Amino acid sequence: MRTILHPILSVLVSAVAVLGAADYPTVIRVGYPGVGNDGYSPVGVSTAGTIAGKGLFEEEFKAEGIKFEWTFFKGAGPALNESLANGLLDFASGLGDLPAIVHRASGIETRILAANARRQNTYIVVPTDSPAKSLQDLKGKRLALFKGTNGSLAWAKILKDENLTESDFKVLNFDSATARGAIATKDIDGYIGGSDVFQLRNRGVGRVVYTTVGRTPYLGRFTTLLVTKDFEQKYPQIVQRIVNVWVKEAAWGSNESNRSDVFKYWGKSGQAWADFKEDYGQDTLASHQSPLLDDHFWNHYRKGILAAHEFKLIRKTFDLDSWVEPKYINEALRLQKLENNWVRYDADGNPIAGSATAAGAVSR
Amino acid sequence: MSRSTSILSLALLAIAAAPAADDIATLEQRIQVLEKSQKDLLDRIRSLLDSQVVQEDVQGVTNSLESFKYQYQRDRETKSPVSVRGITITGGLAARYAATNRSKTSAGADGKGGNANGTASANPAIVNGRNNTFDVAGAFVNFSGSLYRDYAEGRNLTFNLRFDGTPQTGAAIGNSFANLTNANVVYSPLPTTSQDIDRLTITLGQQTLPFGLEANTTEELRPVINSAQFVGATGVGRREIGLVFRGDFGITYDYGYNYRSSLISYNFGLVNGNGPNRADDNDYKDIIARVDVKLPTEYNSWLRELRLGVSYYHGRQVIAGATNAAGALLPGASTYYEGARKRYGLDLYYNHFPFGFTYEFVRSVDDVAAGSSTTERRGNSHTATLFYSFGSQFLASQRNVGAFDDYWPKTWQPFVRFDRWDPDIKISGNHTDIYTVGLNAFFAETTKAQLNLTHKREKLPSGAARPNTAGFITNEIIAQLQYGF
Repeated sequence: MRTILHPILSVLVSAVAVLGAADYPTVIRVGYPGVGNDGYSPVGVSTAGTIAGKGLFEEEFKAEGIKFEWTFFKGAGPALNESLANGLLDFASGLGDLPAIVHRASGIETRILAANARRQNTYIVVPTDSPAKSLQDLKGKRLALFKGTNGSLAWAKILKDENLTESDFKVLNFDSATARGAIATKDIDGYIGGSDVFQLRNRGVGRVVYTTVGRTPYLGRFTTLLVTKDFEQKYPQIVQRIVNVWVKEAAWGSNESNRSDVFKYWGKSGQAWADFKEDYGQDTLASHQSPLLDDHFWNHYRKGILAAHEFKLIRKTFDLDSWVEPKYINEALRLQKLENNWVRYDADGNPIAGSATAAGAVSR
Repeated sequence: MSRSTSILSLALLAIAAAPAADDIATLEQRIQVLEKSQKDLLDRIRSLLDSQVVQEDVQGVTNSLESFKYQYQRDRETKSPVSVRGITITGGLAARYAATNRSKTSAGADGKGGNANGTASANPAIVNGRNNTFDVAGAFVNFSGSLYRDYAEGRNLTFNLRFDGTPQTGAAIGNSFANLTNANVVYSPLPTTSQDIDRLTITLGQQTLPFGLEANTTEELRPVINSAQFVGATGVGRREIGLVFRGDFGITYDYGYNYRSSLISYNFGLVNGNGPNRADDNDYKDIIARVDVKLPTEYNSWLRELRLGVSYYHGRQVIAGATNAAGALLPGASTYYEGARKRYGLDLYYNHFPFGFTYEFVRSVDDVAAGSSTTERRGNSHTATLFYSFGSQFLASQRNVGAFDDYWPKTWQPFVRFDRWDPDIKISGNHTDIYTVGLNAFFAETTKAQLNLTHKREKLPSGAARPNTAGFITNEIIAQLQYGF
């Protein structure tokens, strides 16, 4: 009897295994809004970039044989949005605040799972021989901005902070690589960018006249990990494991003993180690790499939605509560006992005393 | 104090001042630690010195740079094409095979023979029982570039120069000619440095007419191998020489997706109306006008890329008087007449990835010689195409991604098309319908494979030279590889 039952049971077990396997997708498609500094290489920075570079998602799902298709978009957030809108991506890894807000405002359902890079700085660089010494001096001049990226929202906030309007300038839509080239050839009078402006200064072709460093955290830029609503509803267990990996890598990237290694890893993008070092200055890694969906995060996006609407970057606002899904990161933090690994920030971006035991203070 | 007492005292003091054995061991240990620290420090200094850039390293980099500069300069002078202005050179070629169910024979050119490839252009002078053939449909090379670049506002001046090589009909040994097809300069009087502002270009020279959809679609982008029948029959697909304004306004730019949409696109121009590479044959300049309306939507709207267009062409043409079989003018007929040549177009375009639909209606109105005078002839065309894309090459974001290999988002595009051309609507049962089912495979950046299956029914009225009211049926298969550079 046992000899008959055994193969039948084996077949049943195999069938159950196969049916169980059907709960997994064969391919998971992840987008990253950028490429290397050369405008070509499939590399990135922040937690999203190191996860991709190290193949951590692939490693996590090796046993199930799930493949990951990473796409690095030259056209940054807007290009990623196009693919997301056409159902060609499951996850957006490191998508900036404005493109994510625009995408959600257009009615396409996504879920924010975790923060990626946060409190990112904005700089304005001018050609070396420009007489401008401040943003005010650039009134009426041609400034390059990669419109549609999170730099657009930061720029709108900077204008408000400086009591200026966009009509005070001639703002041209250039991607980052083109804008850097245009500064070098003096075809534009200024470029609103991130830490990539340092290479212009270091080459002697640019001079920084404005920075958000030391100003209100309201001006900082955020990026996130988000998933399509369909994928999240269909594969919640996959989403949980993705977020688990994300939190673990964010912890590595927030550990000050890894500071040099983190910058070296991001340097694969073509941006110099020294640029990251200068951009982060005395800031802790954790203050930028924390994945937490804390009060500062919520307030940033809540204000970001209103600001995007005010600056006519979106036509209608939407409910933030239905957009952010914190249950996965909360579970990941619990599983890895990292609930107190990062400092939590209040709505204004100030650290909440006693909220962390390890990394995370704003300054070192 | 005696001398011996003094010596004793000194000895006792020395013993008291001398370190104990334990102290010596401690000191020795400290010395060992210090020695190890010193050694470690020296090792680190040596290591640091090894990793530091020294004068020789700088000299090496300098030498390499100088060598590279020399090599670059030499290659530029001896191995690189150079031009006074920056030029982009592109080109393309289409090689194909076609087979039809109706073999073609010259003697039977009365309708017994089908034209493999659906065209007569590549046919030899004598054809005997052919029902399949290889051929090269055409090749082109295009030069474009900047004549003046306005860095401040983008009011640029550019040029286009294109030569198309096409096989010649009836040549004893296959000849082909490289015909000048595009030869024009384009000026942008409005700034082009921002995507969210109105555009206007002025094109002077030989160019395509902004009429409808099909006539403006180049072979590289057209899903179907052969153009719709009306393109050749009405002449709206041929190049004309003249001055054409093209612009748009009512811009919606969705920066969240880098999607630009114009409420109104307009085209207006004056052309000779006598085709490419020749001067006008009359004193009248033909008028071309086109307007299309697109709803100002965001990217994520189902109305995205829904467009309705109307086109109008008003021209005059020189018409030779009617002749008899011997070639003599009919009694009372003039040698030449000047008659109307008008084209009306209405088109609907909806391209919402991954599917798309186009419909185009064209009416032609021509004065033609008839007896001792002229008469008006009206033709109608209906063309509808439905296509679907499996793959993402038609999304700009997917074509521009970071990848190390020769990446291209491979795409399969099946389509169906209906194409009717009625050259004279006054005569019933006088039209040709072509049904096409096809598949395009885009497997590299500039290369695609195409397969078309066509079913052609050519109805000819009883009064025609080769009447067939039921219609000649021609089934054809065309396989084409089109590649560009």
